[in-house]
Amino acid sequence: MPRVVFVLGKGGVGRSTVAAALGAGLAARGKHVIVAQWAVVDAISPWFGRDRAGYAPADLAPELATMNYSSEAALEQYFVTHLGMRALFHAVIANRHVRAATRAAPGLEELVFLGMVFWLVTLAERDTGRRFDHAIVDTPAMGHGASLLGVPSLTRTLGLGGMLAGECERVAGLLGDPTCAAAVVVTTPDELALDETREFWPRIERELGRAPLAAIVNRSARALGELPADPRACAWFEELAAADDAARAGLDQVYAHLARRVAREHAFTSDARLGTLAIDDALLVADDASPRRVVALAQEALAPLWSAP
Amino acid sequence: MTARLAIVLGPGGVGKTTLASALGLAHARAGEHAALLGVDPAHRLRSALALPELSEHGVRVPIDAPGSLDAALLDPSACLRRWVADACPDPEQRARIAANPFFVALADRLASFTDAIGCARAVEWVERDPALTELVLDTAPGTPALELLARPDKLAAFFDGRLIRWLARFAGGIYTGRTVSRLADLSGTGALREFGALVSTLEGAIAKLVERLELARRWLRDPETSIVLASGVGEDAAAATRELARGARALGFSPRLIVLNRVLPDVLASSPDRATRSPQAAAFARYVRGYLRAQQRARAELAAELTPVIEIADTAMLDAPDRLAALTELGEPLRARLAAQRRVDRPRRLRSRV
Repeated sequence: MPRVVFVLGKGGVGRSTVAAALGAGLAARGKHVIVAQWAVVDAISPWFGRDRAGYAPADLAPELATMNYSSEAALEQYFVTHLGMRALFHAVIANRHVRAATRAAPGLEELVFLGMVFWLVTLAERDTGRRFDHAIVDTPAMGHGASLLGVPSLTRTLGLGGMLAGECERVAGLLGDPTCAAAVVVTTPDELALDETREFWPRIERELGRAPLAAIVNRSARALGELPADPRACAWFEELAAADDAARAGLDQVYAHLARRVAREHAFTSDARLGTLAIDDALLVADDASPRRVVALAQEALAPLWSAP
Repeated sequence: MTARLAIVLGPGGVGKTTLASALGLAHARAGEHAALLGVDPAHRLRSALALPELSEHGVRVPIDAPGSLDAALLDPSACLRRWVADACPDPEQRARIAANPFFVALADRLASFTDAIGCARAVEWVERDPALTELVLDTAPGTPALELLARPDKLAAFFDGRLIRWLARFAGGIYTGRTVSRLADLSGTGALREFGALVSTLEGAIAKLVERLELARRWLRDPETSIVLASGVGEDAAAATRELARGARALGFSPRLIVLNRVLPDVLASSPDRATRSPQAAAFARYVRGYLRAQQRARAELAAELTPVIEIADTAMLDAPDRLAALTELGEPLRARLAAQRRVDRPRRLRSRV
């Protein structure tokens, strides 16, 4: 498994679930792992019974930590802890006018985020004494997440010089190295999520220079087997819904919804270009559909990835 | 602003695009001259409206209604090029701008720029179409959507700030102050000069942008403007919605309405509970039970918010044979409730002002 894995996907498909499961799976294999989030709030810690984490890495389990990115904290850490340039930080970066610019400048935050992610697995040990073998990146939703991967090559075109240029080169180099960085794409068998995955797959290939490791279908309805489009053609459903007039319309609606999910998932997984893994919908296979249980289900389903080169 | 603004925010996967489309269609059915602008770089609006094509300029959605609905996707590249063309009549100067690496980076590659100019694009729409009465913004999931609310302030501060004047003068070889020279040590003088050159050639376009950002700032804070928070039954969706509500409030915006989307009828709770031998039937029954439990949890979580909550059932809607009609029907209660809530909020706001 490469040192940095970017978990991409449409909003709401379960990127955090997959990121937590990848992290927990690697940690269970004795690796030191950090799950780096960039979110309104850290969603993952409560699943492990912990308080929400801020920028500082917080432990979820032995060998497993998480953090939530903040650009203010990352910039300070970068200049003060990593570069040891406290005076420069306060004179220039913390300058009121420069601060206004860095807050507004598009692309800068993305670059600082990427720099931080690679710093975690390369230089953090030297700077802070804390070693991480892997960083699993819970990226912002697809449009922003895919754009993130293109930022270092983009900054190369800006004619940067000085120290910042060296940093961009370093990050672009790490992102371009298949042993160092990889992506997985998460989707659900819903129309808009599958559309988005198909649309963004080639873009991710282009930005990263290679295909993602896998497309992961979360909330898979495969446990239902094949479902005929017409509920009346489905013997077990008829038996279940019969003699329940009050609920019949609602049950038909749920059936129709699930039948479409099954059909879409089938069409998607038979697309040979995308290597797919499926995580069962916890609502179908488990009476306990708590986030903890969902992460455990995902961890099982992702087993083929542990042996990824 | 002459048009009324509604911004749909929410965590991913709860149906923001669907709800925004539904609201836009309901406006058209009610006789409004409405527009729907997708500010999500992921571009799902086209699929949601089942349109063959969706452009930056706007496409009239083919519906039979007393009003109308135009839908457009924010395309930062086309948008910036148009703004530059509006402000710089000189083709040579335009060509120089188009070749500037910072301009290319902004226009073509950066998703975060979509949120940055979303509000300014909305203002431009009203300028160009003064007959517009309702504008609905569909946003990207999560944090970037909050950026959409905060960016007009941030960008206006940037373009009005001293640094940008320093950079322009630096590019012209006039300025050699300490802060900019130290910045040049960090990033190289080449890049700073390119950026400064871009800023000074774009003076006209930037002035227009600052003007639109100022209008957007005021529009966002207009008492008629509504922030609609979409939420779902899914794991953590309600909690994420509350976080967005908190984030919006921290920026000084009070959400008008929370929509709990994709609610199943409660009558199903007692229904598929009989013993069955088929594993598929057992899985199905488990699904319904689990979904309704999650629905209860989402309700309880959202009930703790001050903002009123409405529930919407749409499970099968999207695949209905006439999607636009189904969406319009979905949007009607939303539109009605939003209007009612606006009336409720109005006197309260006036009182608090006194």
